[in-house]
Amino acid sequence: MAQDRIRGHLNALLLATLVDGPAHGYALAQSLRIASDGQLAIPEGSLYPALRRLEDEQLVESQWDTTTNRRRRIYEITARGKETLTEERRQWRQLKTSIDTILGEPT
Amino acid sequence: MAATEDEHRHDPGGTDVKMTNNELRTYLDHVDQLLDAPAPGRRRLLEEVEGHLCDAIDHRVATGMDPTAATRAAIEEFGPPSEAALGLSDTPEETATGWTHWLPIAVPFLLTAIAVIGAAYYATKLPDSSTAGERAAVRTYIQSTLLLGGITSAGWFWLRHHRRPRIVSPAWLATVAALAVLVI
Repeated sequence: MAQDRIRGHLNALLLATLVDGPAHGYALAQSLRIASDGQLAIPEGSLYPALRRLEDEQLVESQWDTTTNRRRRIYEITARGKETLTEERRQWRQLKTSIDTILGEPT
Repeated sequence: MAATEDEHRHDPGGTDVKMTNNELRTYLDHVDQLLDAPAPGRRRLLEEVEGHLCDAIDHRVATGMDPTAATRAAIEEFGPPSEAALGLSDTPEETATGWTHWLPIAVPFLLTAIAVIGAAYYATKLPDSSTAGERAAVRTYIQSTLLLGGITSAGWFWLRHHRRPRIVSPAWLATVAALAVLVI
């Protein structure tokens, strides 16, 4: 259930995490997990296609990290990605307000 | 972290290290076999998954877990190969499902059916007194029908073995080839 909830917001969550700085896939998954106190455990298999989609849409860019022996791709948010994130945040606030109105504590 | 990785990969002496490498390689091979992604993106995905799993193993080893248990835990967290491959495969927007999955094979299948009926008709109705030219024309028609059938079968087998094909798939090439055979 939690994973289904995440799926719809995965792009925005990844963009929001990348605002803090460039990161590779594992670090992104860990950041989300830690920031959400373990509530947002991304299905790891879906992480990389999601990053690839963001890259196709030019919302992030990536390059292989050549500083270690390990093959890691480092992702970085683009200016367009930041604009998209701003819009995603606006839409989220709107949605949250609407849902709060309906599901909020009864008065 | 890099040092730990190097130990995992290059230390020839440790049994744990060999088991870790073997388990990881076996898992990645399984994912590779089940992954439905085109060649360039496929290699990148697999390299990223390998890096991801190595990071996950190192992270656990750094907390005191032994390498074998760390590998198993990392693999378990990533999911069974079939689920991992499904997650890593192309997104639904890029793939064909339902009737669109079988659409590319529908046209060559229909053409083949018509051609087979036509070939059967000519083969049975051709009189014994037919000319060499007529017989050659019928032979060409039957050969074209067989070619069409071959193309259709190839497209069908391709679709059967790719449960989530990309919309632009080799099956569409079968359609184009079938139409080309018909025109020629």
